[in-house]
Amino acid sequence: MATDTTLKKFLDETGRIAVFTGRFLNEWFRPRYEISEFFRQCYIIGYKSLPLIGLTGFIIGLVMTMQLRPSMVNYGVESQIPAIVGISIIREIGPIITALIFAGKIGSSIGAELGSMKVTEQIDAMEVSGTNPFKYLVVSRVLATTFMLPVLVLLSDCIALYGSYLGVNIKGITSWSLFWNKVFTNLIYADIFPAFIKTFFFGFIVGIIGCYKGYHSSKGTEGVGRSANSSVVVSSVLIFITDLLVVQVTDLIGYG
Amino acid sequence: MAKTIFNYVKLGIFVIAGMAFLVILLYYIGKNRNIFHPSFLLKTHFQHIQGLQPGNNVRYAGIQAGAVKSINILNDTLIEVVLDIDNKFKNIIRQNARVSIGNDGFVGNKIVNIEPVKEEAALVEEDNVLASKEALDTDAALRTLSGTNQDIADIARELKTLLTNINQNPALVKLVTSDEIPNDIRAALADIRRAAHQLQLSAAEVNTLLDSVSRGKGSLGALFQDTLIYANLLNTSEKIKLAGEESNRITRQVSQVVQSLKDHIDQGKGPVQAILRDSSMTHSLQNSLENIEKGTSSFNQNMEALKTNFLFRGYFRRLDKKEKKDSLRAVRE
Amino acid sequence: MADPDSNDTVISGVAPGISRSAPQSKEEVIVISHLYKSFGSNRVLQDFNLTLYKGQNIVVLGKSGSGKSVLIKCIIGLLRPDAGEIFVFGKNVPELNHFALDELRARIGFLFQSNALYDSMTVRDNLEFPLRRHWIQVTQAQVNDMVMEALEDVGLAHTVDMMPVELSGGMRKRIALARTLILKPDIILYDEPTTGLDPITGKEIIDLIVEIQNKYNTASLIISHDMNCVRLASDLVAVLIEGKCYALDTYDRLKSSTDPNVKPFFEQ
Repeated sequence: MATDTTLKKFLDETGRIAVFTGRFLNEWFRPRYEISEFFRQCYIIGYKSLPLIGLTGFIIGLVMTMQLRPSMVNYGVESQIPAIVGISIIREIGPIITALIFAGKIGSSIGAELGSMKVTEQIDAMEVSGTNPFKYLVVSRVLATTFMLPVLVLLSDCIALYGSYLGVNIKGITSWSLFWNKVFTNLIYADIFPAFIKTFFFGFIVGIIGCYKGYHSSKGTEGVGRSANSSVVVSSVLIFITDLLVVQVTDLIGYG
Repeated sequence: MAKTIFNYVKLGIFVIAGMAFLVILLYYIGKNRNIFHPSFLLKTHFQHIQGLQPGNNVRYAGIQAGAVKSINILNDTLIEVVLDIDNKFKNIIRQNARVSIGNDGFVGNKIVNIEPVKEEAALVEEDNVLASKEALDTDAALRTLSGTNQDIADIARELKTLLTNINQNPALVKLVTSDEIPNDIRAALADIRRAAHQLQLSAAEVNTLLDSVSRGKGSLGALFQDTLIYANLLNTSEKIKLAGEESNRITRQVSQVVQSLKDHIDQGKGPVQAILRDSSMTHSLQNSLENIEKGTSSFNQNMEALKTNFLFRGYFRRLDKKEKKDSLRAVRE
Repeated sequence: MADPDSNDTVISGVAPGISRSAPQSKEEVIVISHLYKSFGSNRVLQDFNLTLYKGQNIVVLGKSGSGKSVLIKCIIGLLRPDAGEIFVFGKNVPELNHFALDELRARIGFLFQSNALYDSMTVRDNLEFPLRRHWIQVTQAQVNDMVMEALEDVGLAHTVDMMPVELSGGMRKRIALARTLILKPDIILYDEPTTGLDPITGKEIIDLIVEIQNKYNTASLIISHDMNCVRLASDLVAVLIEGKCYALDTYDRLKSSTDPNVKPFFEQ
């Protein structure tokens, strides 16, 4: 009956996450607002993640361009590399890679941080100190991840395209303005909006799963490690599932 | 507290940088889609829009001028395409400009081309409907060319019969005395003239085709960017032109013969005397007919060459099949 | 342990074995009646009754897992009892909404077993946190004074700009105590204040608790199974057995008790 308990555990966990999400949705807009904590988290979650996310974005743009080049040359459409790289980065690669790196960096740190706070009774201490720890810890973090990931994705897109520009110029010569012109002329609003909107969902997922796993961490240091680990795994899987759903929905409403 | 303010500045820069990229992205895409420029609408009608979509670019003489705003089906054979054109083209596009649908590069998007026409016309105004030009159809061009060929073959046959008749002396008198000869010749002449005219048209059409090819326009244009194919086609066109010229010469000669016959008749000498007495006249007529024969055969040669040209091979093969089928049917009947 | 001077001060402050002699009034600050709390099938508290008077120290003694921590978490409102009433300053805690509860909590100090210092904040920020969170209208200068006063009470004024991870276990406990003291609470709840500390440091903490009690005349409820703590800090000792307040008496009388349930606690 191992599968039975696994299924039961899975459903139980899903239900708990749903309740946790419901609590967030119920509480985030009510006072008291933890504004300064929100900004502090934005700084930590957003700004401090930029070097890592910028680096991965740059490498992705560069590598994609270099990998595409041989086959594009074969087809004689070498000049279309900026357009293809631009569309794939803006539509899919940028959001998904950034969200996954973000889940790895921020999801685990939120899971571990809240997990250790839970274990060492810091969350109780906050409550005793007249603070709603859910608002102070969870709402501020989830809002910060929700709003910072889109910004990170935009910057990562920009950096990835710059990487692609360098990649194009390793073996050929394309001017700065021609490169960007090619990128922009092949993009339409329908490429940007679904990609931009889904990053909010990705950010929300990373935040809510990290907070849930930390907030419900079991006692002991092992529990903290498990929270950190499972928050990355669960949020990464959910990001892919959400991505699939977004593609289906945008296709359905004829935006694809 | 100083530390916190420092953080706010960095956070602010971070967020503004991200938003700036978004704004730039949206602005440039909007610019390409003509969203931030004052613009006006033009309309045109097509029978077939070849997969054109709203948002596709519109070019005036190759310059980016706007985008396709919407595509509406007016009835079963007519589709209205609404073009969103940048205001700065208001003083440039004239009402007689021709609109066509083309391709942006080999695998690129569809584009709408607005081409100026040399004649004077008033400038366009909002909601004007511009005339459209269906894309060049090689099948149609070849159909005309084949018709011309058929005509010339008919003429040649008729002339040959005439010549045979003249050569067969016993019947000649009877033939020549009759009024039918000039009429026949006249009819032949008209046929030749028509054929020549059609031939000229075909040649002109092929030329236009080549012109657009050399400008690298249209899907065919992209295909023809290969210089070898281009040269081949140019050669073909040259041959068609040659054939046209030849049939022109034939026409002129026949015309001369007819004229001189007519002159003789007008002088009261009658066609019979004219032909029989005037050996030079007979000679000239014979000569002309030989020329016609020669011209026709050289035209036929050109036509053969065309048939072997890979571009038109498919067309002729189809024609062949049809003929075979027709003859089969005829046999059965 | 980093500062030998402060250790000296604390040890010399209260001589070993001297019981507290704070004035005791008959003003009730905590009245617990018929308290029930269970987790699933595990019945932790069953019909628990206890009354704490102003200025009084009660040590709750019990085996591990007997529900001592659950008791004080119910008092502060972190846990909701299944049944029963907990009156703190005349207000029934389980029935309060969170605004009233926060108001009440500003008057109750809580020293956590694991200290619960915020790792991401400096000592100063840790101490300022409850001040700011309870909407107490004070100027920055007053905040600084209050922080320094609380730190001086525990003898660690020099650590004000350090991070909690840089401190030793005993120092962290004292910082936690300072954070509890900063709001000048009327009641302090101690959750096993000496657990995880070596006996000497544990003794210092007990002495510090007693010293602070004498200075501010607060009522205290101390959860412990450390006999030193029980002996030094208690006015009364409550023995928690099977979810009930089995016995409530002074340390000396319970020590000489022959009750088979009470006796094992004092045999060491």
